[in-house]
Amino acid sequence: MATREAGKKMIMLKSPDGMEFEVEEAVAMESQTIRKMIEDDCADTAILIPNINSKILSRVIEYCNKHVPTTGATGAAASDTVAPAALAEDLKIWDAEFIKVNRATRFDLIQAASYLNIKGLLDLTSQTTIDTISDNSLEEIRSFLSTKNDYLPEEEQTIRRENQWAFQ
Amino acid sequence: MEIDDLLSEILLRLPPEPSSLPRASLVSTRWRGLSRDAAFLRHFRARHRSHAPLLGGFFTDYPTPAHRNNFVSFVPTLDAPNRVRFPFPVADFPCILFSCRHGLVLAASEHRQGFLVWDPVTGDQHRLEEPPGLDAMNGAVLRAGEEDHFRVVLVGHDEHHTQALACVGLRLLIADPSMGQCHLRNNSTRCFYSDGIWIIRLPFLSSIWVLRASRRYSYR
Repeated sequence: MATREAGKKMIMLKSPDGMEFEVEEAVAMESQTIRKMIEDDCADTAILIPNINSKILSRVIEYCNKHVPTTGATGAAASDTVAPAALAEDLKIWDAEFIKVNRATRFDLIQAASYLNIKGLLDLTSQTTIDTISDNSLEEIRSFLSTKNDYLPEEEQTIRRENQWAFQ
Repeated sequence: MEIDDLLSEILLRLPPEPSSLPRASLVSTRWRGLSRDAAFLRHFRARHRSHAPLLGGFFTDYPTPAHRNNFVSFVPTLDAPNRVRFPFPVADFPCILFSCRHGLVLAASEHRQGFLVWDPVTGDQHRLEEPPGLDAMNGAVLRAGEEDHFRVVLVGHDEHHTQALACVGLRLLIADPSMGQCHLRNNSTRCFYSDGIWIIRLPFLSSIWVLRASRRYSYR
């Protein structure tokens, strides 16, 4: 493993399209999946991240860079510290900007966050998706998520009737 | 990409209002399947437990000139489309409300010949008979351990009103109705322990404490 600065261990992440990203170990360990690989000593010189292209991986790293705990050094102890209110507010604004991406990118980010097990990113991407669609009509939701309405008209009517109160 | 794989991650973040899942279930059969899946619902409840909205309250309606019996009614607090109603499931059951906890309602028939444990969400009902020799004054219901078990605790006097009694009923909901009830009685002590529950009776039955595991429940 390469060492760039004193005390900061570096990890190489490789995307399937051949790009390599050198990141601090603490940043990479924002991903519970990578953390487990490192802790189990499965991380050699580079970790191949399957299914996540370089464009998405670079965004994920950007997110982790921003969210890695800044207090203390590296490791689990630092991530347990509670960020001061100002820092949290700053992160919220940053997150809101970060998630201003198109639909396809957001879905890719959800998938990446799920695979890499990055809870904060999964919350951010999924919650934004729900917030986007929650006020939309059924047709808009289906079109947004590329989901087909596979109900027979009678089935749909039955469900509406069964939960009539929810559609008032 | 296949958004379906991550659908449950997204749907988990729907707001906890009662209309959320029924409305989402109309999007497609896959959404409907997920919104009724037991594991998904467990995660959904766990996620929203700390900020679930108050749906309303159950009340005992005391007699009026028009209605000479006591009945239990539900008053919703949310606006449509989340204005859920839980009509009392038994028409001919003049009763008073004893307890509401963990999503269950315990009602006692007006003259205490019987008790009803009711899950307003699923509609499940279970009738209990008054334990022999106990004139119940109050009671509590709570889910015990697994989700389909509940316990009923009744307190009251003996027939001659000379002794205070407490009674714990354990009943298996849905899974095994044949298991029935078991009663653990104690005639004189103020405090007893059974099956993980402590019941402590304070003088004159003005207050009863029920303690289970590390959590404490109380009712008056």
